[in-house]
Amino acid sequence: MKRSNIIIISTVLILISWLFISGWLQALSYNTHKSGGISKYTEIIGNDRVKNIAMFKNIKIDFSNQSTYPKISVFYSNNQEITFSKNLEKQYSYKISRDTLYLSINYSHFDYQDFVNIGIPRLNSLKLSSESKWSGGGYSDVNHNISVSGFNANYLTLINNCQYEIKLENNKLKKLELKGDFHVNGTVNIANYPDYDSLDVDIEGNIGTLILSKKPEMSENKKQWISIRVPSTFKIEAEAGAPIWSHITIKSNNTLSEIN
Amino acid sequence: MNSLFSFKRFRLLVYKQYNENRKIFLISVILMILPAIFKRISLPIQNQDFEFNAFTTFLLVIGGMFTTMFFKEWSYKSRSVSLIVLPASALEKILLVLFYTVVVFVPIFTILYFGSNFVIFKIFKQVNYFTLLEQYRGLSTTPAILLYAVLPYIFFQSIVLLFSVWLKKSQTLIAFGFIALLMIGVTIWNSYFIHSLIRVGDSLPSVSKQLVFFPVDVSYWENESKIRTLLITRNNLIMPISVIVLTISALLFYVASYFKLREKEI
Amino acid sequence: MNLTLLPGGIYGLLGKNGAGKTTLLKLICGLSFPDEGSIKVGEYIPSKRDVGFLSDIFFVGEEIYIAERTPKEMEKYLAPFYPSFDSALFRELIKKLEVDYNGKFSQLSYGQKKKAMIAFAISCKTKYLFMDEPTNGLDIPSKALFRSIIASTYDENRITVISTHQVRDLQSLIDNVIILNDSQIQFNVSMDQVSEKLIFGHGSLIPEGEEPLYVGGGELGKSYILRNSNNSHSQVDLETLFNGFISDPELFTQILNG
Repeated sequence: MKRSNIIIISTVLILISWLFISGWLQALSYNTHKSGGISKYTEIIGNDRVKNIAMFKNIKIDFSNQSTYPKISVFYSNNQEITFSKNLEKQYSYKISRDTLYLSINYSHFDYQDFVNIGIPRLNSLKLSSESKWSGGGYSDVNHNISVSGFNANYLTLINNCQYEIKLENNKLKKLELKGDFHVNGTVNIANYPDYDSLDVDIEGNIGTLILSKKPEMSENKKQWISIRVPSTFKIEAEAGAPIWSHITIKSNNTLSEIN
Repeated sequence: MNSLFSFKRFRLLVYKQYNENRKIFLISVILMILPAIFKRISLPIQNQDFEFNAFTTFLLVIGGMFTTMFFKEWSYKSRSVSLIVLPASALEKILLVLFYTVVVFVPIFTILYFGSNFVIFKIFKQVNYFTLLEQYRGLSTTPAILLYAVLPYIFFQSIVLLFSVWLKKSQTLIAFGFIALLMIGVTIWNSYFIHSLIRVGDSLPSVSKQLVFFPVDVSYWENESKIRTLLITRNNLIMPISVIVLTISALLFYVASYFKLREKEI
Repeated sequence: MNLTLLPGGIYGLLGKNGAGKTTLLKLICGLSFPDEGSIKVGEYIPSKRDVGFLSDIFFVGEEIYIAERTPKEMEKYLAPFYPSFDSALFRELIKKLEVDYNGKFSQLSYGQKKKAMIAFAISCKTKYLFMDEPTNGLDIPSKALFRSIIASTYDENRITVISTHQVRDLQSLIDNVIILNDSQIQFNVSMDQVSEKLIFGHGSLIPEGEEPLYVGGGELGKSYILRNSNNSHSQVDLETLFNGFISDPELFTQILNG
């Protein structure tokens, strides 16, 4: 056999063998970790779980003046917990004082896999502020946002003074109150808006986007009380012909856009 | 003069090659700006994985086509004769290709690609493109580019080079076709086989974002609400071995190309 | 097949189409590898394609390819690979063959390109020079020029092999003739040896007393070959020799090898 063919066949065999072996090792380490063991050759560098923290019902997050932000999930959880991804180290600080979590994020080294998870049994208010001049636009990973999800409660007040993307989904509230100035083109996406018995939106500010959506199979909430007041410079996205349009008050001339 | 390798002869080869393909080289440099422009116009900045994959894909495709240019003469008898009888060793001829397709091409393309992106970002005043690249999967920019773009490129390009030297016709088509099959095969492997090995209680987690070629850097699990619950990165055993395996494989393919050139008959 | 070529010889390699001339040349140049047996060119084995070997041979194929754009570029980028390249000779030959030194090959005819290649090949002053159908595509004046150039650049250390089926073009150029038939070497003899054994003649009157070995119709009337039994001398007529061989290979092989 020609020398070149011997080399090619040997190399291909090495590659295939390693593909099998590495796949098997990978699966093995997953199983070990998940069942609570420690794998000798895999390092979990994901989480920094904060334990033993005081109770809080309000959250205030300040983003300083960076152009990007880590993914933040605020979600319902029986037990209160905060988890930071390992690489986020030194880029945040927090304190809890009188029912409120003050979280300051100074995000200078962007890593796509960074996240902050805040699990809380009850959330009364969430306030987001930013000093950054970046518009935050042109950045559209659908999974990268600040999400509030899983709450089935009485009320939630969301004050948005940041320019990032906020998504509210899978919540069932008696009242959702949305305020803020959306600082330099922020976005709030209220998914499944019929889930809020009372939807009170009053936005100040210059430029931003408000998205109101629901799943096609979801029916309108006939008991819903809605008041949406937005400035003329804002963009609203909602399904054409949806009843929600009749509850929207434009503070002066506005550009309307529709989805679907 | 050493009969296996001589710097003087190699320099002559480099000049000769440049002279023959002057026009193509210059046009290529201009064309290298196009991918960045095309991508930025058609899509806004996506997440880090996408941006890196986009860069790597362009690097592989354009570099791969560039590589096939050097031995496309095989299909013409007269040209293959001149290729073989040129008084330079087979080693020098292979190193010539590597010189242009790795040493010259990779840095130039990288600078042009990121440079054009930077210019576009300045024009559109968008999210700072470079903060996206500052730290990727725990590595700073240069090591990240070397590991996640240049290493796959060298591995990929060694296969393209081998096909270029080996085959008489349609080298580009077959090389790219083979690599496409390879990538599909490995992706299917990653998705199905490994997935089936993982057991977590009664349900399987949604494992995402695995590196296409090798399961070297598996990342996070997400539940239905997209809440990330666990992050495993930097597999201390698999990652370094995979880097070594890929590097050695690329080198072996280069060696095979060398022998194929020596074994070539007209 | 067994073949030995010696320095200073200009060998004409003749044979019908498909006899194996090109294959033999490719084997000698290392472009193909023998299935069995060995080939040595000087101290080199062609299939190894050592740089020393490659810079000591030049092969002008039937189809030529020049990567450079002009003869001037050939001198600048290709010539440095051949240590013995003679610039002055190259320019002189280019001029003699009426090829524009600065002319672009893309605008030149096939014949012009071939002449440039031949000029370059000779100017490389390699120890071994192989040409496959070099006169293909050349006009009649150029063919004559070709012959005179080969003769005037004779080098006693060089082996030159010219393969062709246009036998007439090699007339009074070569000093050894090799005839190939069915991939076998029928004979490899010097022209002196041929004229010792055979007499060539033209005209309608064939001398009496001898049975001609071959009679052919040529442009100048008949041409014939007789056995040379009385040490006469005649100019070897290559074309007639070749035609004679074709008509009776065994006879001529026997006579010339005997």
